Amino acid sequence: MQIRVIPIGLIRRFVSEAEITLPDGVTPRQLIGLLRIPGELKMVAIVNGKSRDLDQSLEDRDEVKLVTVITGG
Amino acid sequence: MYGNTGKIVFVDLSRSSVAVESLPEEYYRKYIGGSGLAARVFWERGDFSADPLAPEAMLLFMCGPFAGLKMSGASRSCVAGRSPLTGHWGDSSCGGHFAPELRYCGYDGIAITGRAERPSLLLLEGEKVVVVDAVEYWRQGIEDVNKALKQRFGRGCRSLIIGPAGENLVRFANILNEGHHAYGRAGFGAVMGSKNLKAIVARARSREMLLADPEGFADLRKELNARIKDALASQVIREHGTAANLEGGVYTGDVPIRNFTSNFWEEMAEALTGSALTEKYLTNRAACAYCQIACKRVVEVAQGPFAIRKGPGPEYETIVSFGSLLGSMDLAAACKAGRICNDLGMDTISCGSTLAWAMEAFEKGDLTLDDTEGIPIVWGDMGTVVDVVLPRIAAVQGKLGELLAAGSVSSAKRVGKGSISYTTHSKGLEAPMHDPRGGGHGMALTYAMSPRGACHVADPMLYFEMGACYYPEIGFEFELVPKSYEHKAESAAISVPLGAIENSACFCQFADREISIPEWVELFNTVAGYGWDSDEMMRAGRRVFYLKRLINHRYGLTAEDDTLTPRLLEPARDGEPQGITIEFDKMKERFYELMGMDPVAGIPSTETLSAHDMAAEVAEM
Repeated sequence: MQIRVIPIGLIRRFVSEAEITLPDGVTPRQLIGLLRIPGELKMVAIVNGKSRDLDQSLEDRDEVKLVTVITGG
Repeated sequence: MYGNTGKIVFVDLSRSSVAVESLPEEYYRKYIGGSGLAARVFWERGDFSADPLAPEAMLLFMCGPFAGLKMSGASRSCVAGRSPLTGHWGDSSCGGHFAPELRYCGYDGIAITGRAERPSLLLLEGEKVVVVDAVEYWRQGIEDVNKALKQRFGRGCRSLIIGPAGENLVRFANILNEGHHAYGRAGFGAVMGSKNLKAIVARARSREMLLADPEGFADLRKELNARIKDALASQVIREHGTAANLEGGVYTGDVPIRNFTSNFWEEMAEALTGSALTEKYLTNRAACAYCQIACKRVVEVAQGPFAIRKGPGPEYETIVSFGSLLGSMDLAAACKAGRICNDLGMDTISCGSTLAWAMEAFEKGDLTLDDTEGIPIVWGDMGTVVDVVLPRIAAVQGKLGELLAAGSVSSAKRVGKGSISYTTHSKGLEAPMHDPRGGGHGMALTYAMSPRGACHVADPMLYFEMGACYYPEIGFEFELVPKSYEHKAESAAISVPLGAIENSACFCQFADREISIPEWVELFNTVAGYGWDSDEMMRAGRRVFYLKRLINHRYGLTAEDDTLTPRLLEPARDGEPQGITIEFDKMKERFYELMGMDPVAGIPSTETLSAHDMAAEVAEM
């Protein structure tokens, strides 16, 4: 399946915006692992504009924004 | 005594008298230093009947045990006393360069009462402390005074200075070190102003310090400094400042927009985020004393209506307070507003929040042109904010300046018309720029429990909820879901005492996230020789929190005050947190239970006080 990955904020440090091909059934958590985003970052996946459980499978043509909640004060 | 010097300078400005006293070592073991030790001294010697701006009010500056020890993030200090903004206990932490100099002079802190007859400054030259005339600096901005003091006392001197806002008793006036680093919150610049104290200048003669285990500490410091420097979070904020991931915060709903009426604004996210500041305006990076992180920004806006020459730049709180909170995505305007606040001496969070309240009040018609002297106070109109409103607030000039200089709560009470309902605070302190509805529900609890009022640095809940740290040795190993109440009270019962330790040790929360609990214990033991284990360290943290609660109780606060205004607890209207309710009461009830506190009085029970060796403090009540 084809997925559009859009890194947000700090995640741009690790990933560029891209269309990628993935096996069917891949979850946001697996995608984050495949993209080698550091495991210490707590992640949020926004799929087609809505927050998605990291373990819920993605579908063909999904747009996935990857966000980390790390913040400064 | 190891680590600490044990000495506090007591100054009575009314008599121009200075006395140095040694505090019992027990005070340090029980209250650590910083805001904890300040609370202990205030509890014992503060005049609880005194108005915060009366001569009798006590103003305290305190270092922590690690000040000047070349440990990354460990040379902060605090100011404390009764806040003129909230009317109860307040404290505010500052990085920069003052704490090491004070410690090198031979002191852990300064306690000031009285009111000088003429504008004065307090000069510490080594152990010698004198009150010096400062009339020539009165009514001058902080930037110029900082330069003048360096010329007069030498480049190596370190100073704390108030601006015109402090002199004019603006209730959220701040105090700046080196014109860049602020004791921002709770209005202690006005307390200095009320005492006719323009500045405190320290110039040390010696840098010798006595440690319990110098070699043990040196080994630990070497390891920790390297770890702090190399941590991913450190690299990120070194590169792009504390607003490095502001954009991510917008997507999670953490960044407040238009007086907390919205939690999502996509276009603004890219415009205000840290990388935009780097690309457009950054000229240099800067650091507090001995810090390996260097999160501070130096910026220049070369042209346009918000042009500013090279100088101190904004961090996250200022960018949001003078950005999205006011409906603006103009980063240059936020830079200039921050620079003006630095020079005039005003807290950017309370100032921005008061303006955000005013903009909403103006939009609703609760604040009229008659109230504002014909000046429209409109969302996103940063030209008016920068050129007209900020100078009027600092000068307490006219109806508008007088109204807003009192802070959002007093302003709303004066205006009436229900406008208090859209203030955004706890216990009178305007909330910082992390919206607990999006950032994490645990923050709603800890904002409400913080003795000084809504505060994201009173404890590390912000980091707990973003999964930035785990402390299995003290029971914190929850996988927290930010927008949920589950395990939040249990987490707060750990983060609150840990935050009290951080703020008493005067440690930066960006640096100390890399330090494990056993290492914390070792730091205290190698420097101060306390012989602590983690239980004893956490007991000290709880004790600090409990004492501040007792102080507030003497000012009439109860559990009813441990809440947030409706705007901060109502379900968000958009973005990630839209429609989600914060189960605030459940968290609050459980927190009191876990902390051994009376759920009505909001203070520790007799049994809890006894278990924390606080009989002497109870006897002094």
